[in-house]
Amino acid sequence: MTLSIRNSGPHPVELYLTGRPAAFDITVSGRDGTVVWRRLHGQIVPAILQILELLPNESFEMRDEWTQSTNSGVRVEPGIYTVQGELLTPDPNRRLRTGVITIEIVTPACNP
Amino acid sequence: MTISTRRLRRVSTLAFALAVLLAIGACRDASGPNIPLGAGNPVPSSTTLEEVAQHEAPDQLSVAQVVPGFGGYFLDAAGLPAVYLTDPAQRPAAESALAGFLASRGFTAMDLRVLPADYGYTQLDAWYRLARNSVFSVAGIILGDVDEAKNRLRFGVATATAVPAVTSVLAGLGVPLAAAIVEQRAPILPMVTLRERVRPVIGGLQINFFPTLVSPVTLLCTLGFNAIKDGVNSFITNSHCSNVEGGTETPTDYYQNIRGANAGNLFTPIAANFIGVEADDPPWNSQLNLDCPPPLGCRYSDASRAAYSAGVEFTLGRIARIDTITTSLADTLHTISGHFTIKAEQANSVVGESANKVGRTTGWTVGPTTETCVDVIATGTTHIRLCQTIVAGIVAGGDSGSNVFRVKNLKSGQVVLLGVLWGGSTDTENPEFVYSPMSGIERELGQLKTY
Repeated sequence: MTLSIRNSGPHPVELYLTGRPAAFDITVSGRDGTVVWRRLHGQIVPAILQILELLPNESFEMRDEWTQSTNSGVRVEPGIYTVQGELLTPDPNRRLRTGVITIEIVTPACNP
Repeated sequence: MTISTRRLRRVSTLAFALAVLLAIGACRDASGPNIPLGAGNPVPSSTTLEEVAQHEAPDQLSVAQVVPGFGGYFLDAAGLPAVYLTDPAQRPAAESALAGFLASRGFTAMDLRVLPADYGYTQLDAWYRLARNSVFSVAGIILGDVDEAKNRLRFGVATATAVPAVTSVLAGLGVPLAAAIVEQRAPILPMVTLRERVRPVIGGLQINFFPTLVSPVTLLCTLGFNAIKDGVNSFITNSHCSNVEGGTETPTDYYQNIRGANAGNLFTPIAANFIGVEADDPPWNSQLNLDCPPPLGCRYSDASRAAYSAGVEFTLGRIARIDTITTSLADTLHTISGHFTIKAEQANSVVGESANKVGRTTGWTVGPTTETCVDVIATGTTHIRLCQTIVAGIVAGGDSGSNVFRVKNLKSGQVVLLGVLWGGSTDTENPEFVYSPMSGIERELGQLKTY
């Protein structure tokens, strides 16, 4: 999974991000909205604050993998899931969240 | 049939990108500048009646230039317009000069109340300018003013003994004492927050550093507490609040509050904000630590020591005290209302004990100690903090380096120093912060004099 952030405006923007490296979260939820996996579940993040200047059209990316397991390590069932990313900022009123996308986990066809 | 593998099938694209579009300035950290006190009354900005009459709030001296015997205008306690005149016959002139002022507030000339003035504003202003330098050399003086609402000079002093001192100065300069009000009043304290420049430097303030000279990233942390190590004036913050986490090969320059002007370019250094250089930050390794599982690096504290630059004022044993305890992450304004005084150190933590912290982002927060001597690996790192303490308290990015303390006497502000905060959970419903206890800090940085 790749979470990218881009300054789409005409002026430089300062981003206030928590952690070093900047911490980001990814939340996978089931169809009923139950969270099955959170990247930062139970994690301790260094409480440092970094200010990153993004020039117009500049972007950066963060990547991680989801192993299709819950936070307790159990494989998730095939089905529809939603995914949302978030960059941690110190101000809860100005959260940097992505839109929600939908994915489907399927059972592959097996060879006879 | 056996399912041996699974594959992720995306609905729209195989690899997905989650894009965050930024609104300009949407994520700026709010902090306001200090507003300097003015140097005194301004010179008249308008010199003709027509010019003065156009202003919605003409300065007093300008009105005095065009209205003979003018002694000041203002809105009274009822919100109605009033003007002091030594000669009531000058009312038409006053009505004309204040036409813009009256109209802008929905009044007519008839609404203007004329009060008898003992002194002309120009005379009061001349006396004030004559006396100002001498009066402001009196110990205890707080403010001076030509009070247009009282048609007097007005001086505020902090102590009763300063009252006769000021009146003596006025009398010596030939200013009629009847023309001046000298009164005792509460001192005016600057409304300074943890994120602003504060001297002497105390614990809890924002510090700023840069990983490299040309880095597009600047980093903010909190200065935990002051300390003296082997005679060196120092302060303690986190190891991860330095150019390199562990080691001093590329020593970190620290600034308080920021390296550059807030309104300008953050990357332009302000020499007056430079406070010190990283002096001690032991390496994170496993070779010398049998408690550390290789190949991870370990330490007993996320702490580093910086040496104050010569001439930087600091106060040992002091931590900024905030007006209120923060109960929500939405609270972002943390005004300094005084200070806590460190009276003792406590080496280790106790479950159930209340632990407080003061940090630049979430201010003063407090919660119960929930776990002690916990080995913690922080997200995004390969470093284990050994024997750390967890507290159910609010924390956010920028609080790294915060002092952690136990309140001994709330009224007097006496506290016991517990350690230095370095991290927290991301669960906003059940916030937690993690700190390195003093035992771990002094195990690695050596004996510190902290009060």
